[in-house]
Amino acid sequence: MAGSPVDGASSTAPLLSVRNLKTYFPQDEGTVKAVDGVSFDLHAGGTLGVVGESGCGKSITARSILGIVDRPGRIVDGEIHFRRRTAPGLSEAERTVDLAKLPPNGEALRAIRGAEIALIFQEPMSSFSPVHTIGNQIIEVIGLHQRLAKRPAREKAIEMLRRVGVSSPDERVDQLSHQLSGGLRQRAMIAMALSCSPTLLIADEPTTALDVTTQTQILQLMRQLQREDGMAIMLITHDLGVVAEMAKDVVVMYLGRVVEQAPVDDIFHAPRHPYTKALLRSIPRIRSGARERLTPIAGSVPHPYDRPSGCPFHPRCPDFMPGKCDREVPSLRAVGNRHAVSCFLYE
Amino acid sequence: MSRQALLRVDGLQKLFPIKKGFWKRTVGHVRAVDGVTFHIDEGETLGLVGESGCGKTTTARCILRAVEPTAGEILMRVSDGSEIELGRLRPAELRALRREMQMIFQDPFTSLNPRMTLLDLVGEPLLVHGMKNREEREARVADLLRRVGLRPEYMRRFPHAFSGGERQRIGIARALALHPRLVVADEPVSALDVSVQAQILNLLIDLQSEFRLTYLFVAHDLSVVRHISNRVAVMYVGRIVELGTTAELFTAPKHPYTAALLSAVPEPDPRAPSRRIMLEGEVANPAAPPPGCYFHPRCPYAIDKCRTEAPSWREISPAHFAACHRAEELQLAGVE
Repeated sequence: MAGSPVDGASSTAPLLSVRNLKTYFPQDEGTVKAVDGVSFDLHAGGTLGVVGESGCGKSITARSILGIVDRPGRIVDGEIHFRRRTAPGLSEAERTVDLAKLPPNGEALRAIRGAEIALIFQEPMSSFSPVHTIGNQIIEVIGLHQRLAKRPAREKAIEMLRRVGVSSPDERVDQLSHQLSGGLRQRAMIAMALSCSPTLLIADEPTTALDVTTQTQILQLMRQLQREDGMAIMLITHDLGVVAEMAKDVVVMYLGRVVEQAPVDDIFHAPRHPYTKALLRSIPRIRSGARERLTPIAGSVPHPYDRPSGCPFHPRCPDFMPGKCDREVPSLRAVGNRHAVSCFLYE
Repeated sequence: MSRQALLRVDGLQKLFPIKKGFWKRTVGHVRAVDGVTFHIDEGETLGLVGESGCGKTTTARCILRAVEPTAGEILMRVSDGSEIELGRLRPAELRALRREMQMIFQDPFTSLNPRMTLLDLVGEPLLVHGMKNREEREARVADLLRRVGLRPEYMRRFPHAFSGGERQRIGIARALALHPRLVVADEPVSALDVSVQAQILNLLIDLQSEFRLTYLFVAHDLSVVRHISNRVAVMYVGRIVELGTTAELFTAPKHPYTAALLSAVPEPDPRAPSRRIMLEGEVANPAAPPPGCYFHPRCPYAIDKCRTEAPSWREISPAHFAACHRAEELQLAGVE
């Protein structure tokens, strides 16, 4: 199967390597630095959780990778190295492409988007066309990337729907998205995303709009498909519970920057950055005493127009050092094995 | 019972007609709320949980009579100690009682009029209920804003100048303006950022003891409900399937649906053992619910009786109720 895991010496090269990515939105009121110097690696077959609150730039990072940032936003700096799957006529050196340099609507990026990197959105209701059957939408994707004729493409679409656990897929394939429940719609969305066996699946809040019991089913399905197909997953979410359950490595973002990056166990059991620590203390937990008080983080996420100077977290930080944190911007530094933090406490 | 019930809901039912065809004939009903019974004691918080479409919001709205219930009784104990049947009140009588019951909404971005300042927003209920003097009103608004943690100097600003958490505080100030006794909070923190949720939950707990408020707390997030509720009711397809004290319901659930819901909450700890109960299929359609127990098609413990006979609502252990044929015999796992 295409998209087999990379082997031998090449297995150390990450599938996706984002370096100092900056995506800005010039507006009348000023520039919104939605993503402001983000770096991380994702290895083939791995699962990277990207956590953060609204406005932290996690979704824009994903959109930058796919080249679908809405205007007037654009990538102003940085690199997004993606390792393409082996193909005849593609030399080893040519396999790594910098997605940030490719024109967003050019043929090169369009050949990767959908075929090698697929995306699942948060809202399955608005991400399907309401006037086309879900089958036709999946067939369109298959036809675009795999040069299959209409009939085999339809067979493949039905097969994909069956794989993601849609009951009676040969009937569902001819239904419109509003005829499906939220959980089924998200399954159909996953079927569409995986129809071309991508090596990287970007899941942007894939279960946020779903009920907990449906969420369980969808997360389980994603894990099962990952085992079978070996794709890497970049899981974007605000839910620390979902991250703890799914991810191997975690990137914590705040106001467009990576504040901490570590294996999942370190994030939850040995967090270093004050924001990560405070976030873990503040979330309501299912294992708690009844009516137990929480430890909130003071203040709220600043508006992107009035971004604090220095470290973006300093106005809410319990360890704020005046004269340092409000003047200089900390950079991401290694503090342990695969563990990096951007905080002056560790410099 | 040491405490008095502030609110008693008995057999509450709300059916929404399904209309079809040119003549808009009623072809069926969505049984949004189907025979719900519970009470809330004065000063306590009852959490009402369930998945989308289970009827928890409709129940809350029926109590405030924002939606007219189809059947059932809603009894509220008013200040003089007598009980009033809310369902039978005429509009004018209801308006007077509205002082005593207020609502906090889910989405602070759509529930505040963007063209009104904080003073107008929080002062409006005061004006409607007869506080005509402007200075008096301003002083009261300033006091309310302080109570919810906002600076009174901001009272001439508009809601757009505030973050989600601050807007939710405005909504809370507005709900508290008339010294209500019952506050119905419908998903008050689910639209907020994680780091802000804790602030609002703590504020709600503080205000409750300060003003001796009684909360009906409607939410889908079980972790949030555990942090705020004294007792919890779990709804499934228009019915309450289990009701008990927070501690008991979470640690020793009696209904398989509650156990499945509890197990489905992902824990923010990668070392937590997986304790998933995978429910097959989807929530039943409230327009055409299955026979017998509504949960039986998804229930891992279903027996023949569950497919034909609706389970009775009964007290399994003191103050712990469930509607399940096998509630007494099943040993279900909760969370510690």
